[in-house]
Amino acid sequence: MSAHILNKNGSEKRILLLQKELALLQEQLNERVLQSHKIIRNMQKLADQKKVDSIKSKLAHNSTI
Amino acid sequence: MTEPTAENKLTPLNPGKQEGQESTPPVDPSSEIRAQAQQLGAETATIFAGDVEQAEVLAAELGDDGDALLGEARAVGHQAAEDQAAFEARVDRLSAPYVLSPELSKVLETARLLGRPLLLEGEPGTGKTALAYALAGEEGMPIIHAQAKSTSNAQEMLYTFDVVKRLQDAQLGEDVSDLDKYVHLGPLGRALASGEQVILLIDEVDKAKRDFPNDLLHELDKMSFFIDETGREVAAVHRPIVIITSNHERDLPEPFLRRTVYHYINFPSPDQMSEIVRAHIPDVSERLLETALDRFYQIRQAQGLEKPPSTSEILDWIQVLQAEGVTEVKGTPHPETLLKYKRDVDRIVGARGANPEMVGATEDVMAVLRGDRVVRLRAKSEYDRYEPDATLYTLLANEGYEFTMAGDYGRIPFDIHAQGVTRVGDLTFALYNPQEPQKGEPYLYEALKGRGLVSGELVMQDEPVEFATVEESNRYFTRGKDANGNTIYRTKEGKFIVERKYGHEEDSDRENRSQRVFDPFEDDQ
Repeated sequence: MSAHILNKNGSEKRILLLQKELALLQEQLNERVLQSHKIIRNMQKLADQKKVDSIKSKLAHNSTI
Repeated sequence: MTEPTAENKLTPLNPGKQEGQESTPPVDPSSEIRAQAQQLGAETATIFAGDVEQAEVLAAELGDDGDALLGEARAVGHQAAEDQAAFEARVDRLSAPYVLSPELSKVLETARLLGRPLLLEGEPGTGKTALAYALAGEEGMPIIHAQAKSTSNAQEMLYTFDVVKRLQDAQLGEDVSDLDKYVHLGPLGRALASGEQVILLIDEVDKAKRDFPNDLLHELDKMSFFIDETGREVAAVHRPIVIITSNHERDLPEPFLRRTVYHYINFPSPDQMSEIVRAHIPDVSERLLETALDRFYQIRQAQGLEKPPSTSEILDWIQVLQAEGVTEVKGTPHPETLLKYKRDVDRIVGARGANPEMVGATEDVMAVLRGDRVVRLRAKSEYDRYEPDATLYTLLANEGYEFTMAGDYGRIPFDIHAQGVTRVGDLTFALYNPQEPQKGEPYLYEALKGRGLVSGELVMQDEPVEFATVEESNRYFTRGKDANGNTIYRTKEGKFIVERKYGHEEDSDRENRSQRVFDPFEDDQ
């Protein structure tokens, strides 16, 4: 009895499996992009807040003078 | 970045190709999928680069507060790159051909018939993990890979419940009544919950704690489990094919072994390896394959290797050799492809490359065969193997050589750091090759001899030396001892390698020697 070779030829089944894997990768990368955008949005919010705080403090300072 | 859409779906390659058809040049069916993944990766990388650029600007505005967030933004990009690399590795594994021996084929069939886990043991590189992936590729079945670690426990293989997240959500006033959204299924949990039959690979189970395999028994038997927090039962609709691997780093518990179908995979024989190589590299030439395998098995038999090369290394090696147009292996070209530790490379090819096919010979002998001038330096005392005569240190210091003093009872060996000088044993150095003296240290050789600091020199000679005892003989050399107990070699060419001993010389002789003007190039003139 001789050895049998798995995955010798490109089968339809394997291609479908690889397509599923690719779809999973796409899902994962989409998730990462959303995560990254969320971080930028948070940073933007913090930066805006910082500007507002700075203006407020300047105004408060001017009004005390 | 776009959401996955119907347009992004791939079309099968070679859809009309049937078995038995006229053979056409082989097309890698995964190449189109790889290309799409790379495009996806490039697209994502551009987005991350833009995000990081923006994050850097914002971080500068935010000062210290922004640093952590900038770090997070960078980390997400790195994680995406890791996802991409992991995907490529999975595609490689799912697409790799696998030579299934008749015995393993039978065992696999038995395990599937009985619905029991298949436990594969064998040394690393025998194809245990590869079998699970190849089977997944062959059957088009999703594979879930659970890598066992020393910290692995059975519970996290099933599921974990995120109490902390639920608490945080509750504090934020969010609805926490849907408990299911805090349940994260582990690899075994996902395999049992899957709507289709999957392959569950529990890799290197012997790395986990001893109780780990036993703790999985119940769920593996029943193919179901309860999520206590929600009261939900997860039961397999399709029994997964469970493949468990072990490198036999420790014995597995008896009850666990009883419930599995066990098979030990031996390292492939040369004939099997030849078949494996052909399956991966169909256009390999007969001569290259034969000579490469011959060398590969010699190297595997060499004593004292930290990591003997295995299947993946021989495949890489032959691919590199083929790409370079090598048709026949002589010596060990590209040893770095086969051997992963410098010590192993030195053991096989010698510290300076050119290999005289002397597996099993010591490094000093290999250096002599390369034509190097190899000297043993005088030790501090006759009982000291590692510590050189103290005057050696002063000589080297005065002559401006860099060196490491011996220390810690040989754990820090005495070494000379000079261009072309190689340490080939305890207090033993290849100093230069008379064919190319400018590349080594002929001056140092003369200086050491002049000061009486050389106790012996390994030389190759035609005059025969009589063996008193023989320790090893193979197709490359015979090693043994002469009547005085000195190690001697006879090479396949009939030459003898012996150690020429030097006694303590009279001071006047030393003086004369050290005053002689040495010209390393005199032989060439």
